[in-house]
Amino acid sequence: MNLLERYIYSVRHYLPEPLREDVGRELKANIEDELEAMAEQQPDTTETQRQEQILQQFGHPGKIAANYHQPTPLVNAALMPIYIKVLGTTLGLLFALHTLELSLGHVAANDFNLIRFILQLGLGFLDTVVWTFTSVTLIFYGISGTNTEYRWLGYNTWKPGDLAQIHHPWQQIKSSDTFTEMVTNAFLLLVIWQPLWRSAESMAASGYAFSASFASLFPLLTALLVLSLLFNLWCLVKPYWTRTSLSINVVQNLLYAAVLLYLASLDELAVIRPGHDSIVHIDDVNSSLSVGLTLIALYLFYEVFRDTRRLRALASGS
Amino acid sequence: MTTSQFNKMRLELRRGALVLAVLSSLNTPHYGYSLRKQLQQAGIDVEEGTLYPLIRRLADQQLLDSQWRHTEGRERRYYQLSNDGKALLEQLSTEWQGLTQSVNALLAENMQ
Repeated sequence: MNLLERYIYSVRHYLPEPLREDVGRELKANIEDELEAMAEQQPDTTETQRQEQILQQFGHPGKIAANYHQPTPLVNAALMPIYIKVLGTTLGLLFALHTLELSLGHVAANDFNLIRFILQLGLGFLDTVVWTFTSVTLIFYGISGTNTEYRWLGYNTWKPGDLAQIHHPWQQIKSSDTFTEMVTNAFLLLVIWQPLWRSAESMAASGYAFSASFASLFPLLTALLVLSLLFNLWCLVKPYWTRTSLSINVVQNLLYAAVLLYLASLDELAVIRPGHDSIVHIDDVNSSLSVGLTLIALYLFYEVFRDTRRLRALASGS
Repeated sequence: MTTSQFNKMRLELRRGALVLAVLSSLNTPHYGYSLRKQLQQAGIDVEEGTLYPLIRRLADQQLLDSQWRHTEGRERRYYQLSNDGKALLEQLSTEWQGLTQSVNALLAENMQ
């Protein structure tokens, strides 16, 4: 095989089977024309030198093959912004769920090792990332193949009236904030309903338990947490503060603050199970919990104050 | 502005114009190399690796008809505008005239 044949062979290698013969034949004819013209212009050069020069001008076989058969992108340019958003949101949600699952596993095991937790989180999530990336990409590849992305994205039916009414930068809700709240709410929900997913042995092995007065508030807390989760989902769909969503947030935070202050006022929140000892005195544990709950309630009051001001700003249109 | 920026912009500027130049040149039949020579003589220097695949892509879009012929002892693929190609060329030419006229007027007004 001379240089030209080796070049054609290499270009063919990069092309799909149905094109190889035809493109190879045409490319060979074109290069031979170029060689013939060069032989007339540079009669002192050898055939090999001319071939080297011409092939250098044509460029890498892979580049030429890509010009002949331009690869179809997996995701169309129009879909790329939403593809990245869907990928980010899905991975964020799955990371949150993965963290939650792992945390609950550690709660159930009555044992916590930070390094093991981080390793399990990282390595376990890596697998999820691969699957998510592949699945989301395949779905968007399918949509790209139909060439209906503009209709699918609603670009053709869009009206200026559809635009979100955003007047202040703070109106944009970060998806990371929503995810954090979702995980916290789900985690608390699962912690207070431990008997539903933990075995009796595992529960009995745990030294601490909720006090009866605390446990009596579980139905109320459950309702609040479920409503919060629904609100979080709404914030994911419409990630900007409106008067309605701010009002909901104010009411929600007031309710949580009231419940937390009530809990902080209780004599005991946690008790030691019979037959267990505690390194820390149970009164100290309850005092710390009360202080912690009061501090959280104060922060929630600050949020209520902040959101009320924001509501006024939205109402006045400033 | 860096050289690479200029080259990138230049490439974008030439891309559409090159299609028009190729379509208009293929009003008469040409094989790859003869088309490249004709464009070169008209002041449009195109790399081999760009022009030959472009002709083929235009043919794939039914804008060109092609035929293998044996000339001067070798086989060559000749390309010529198809009916679809002729209709498109007419539309693109009108578009090009309007565009160049407008851009020239803008350049004349703002580059003084």
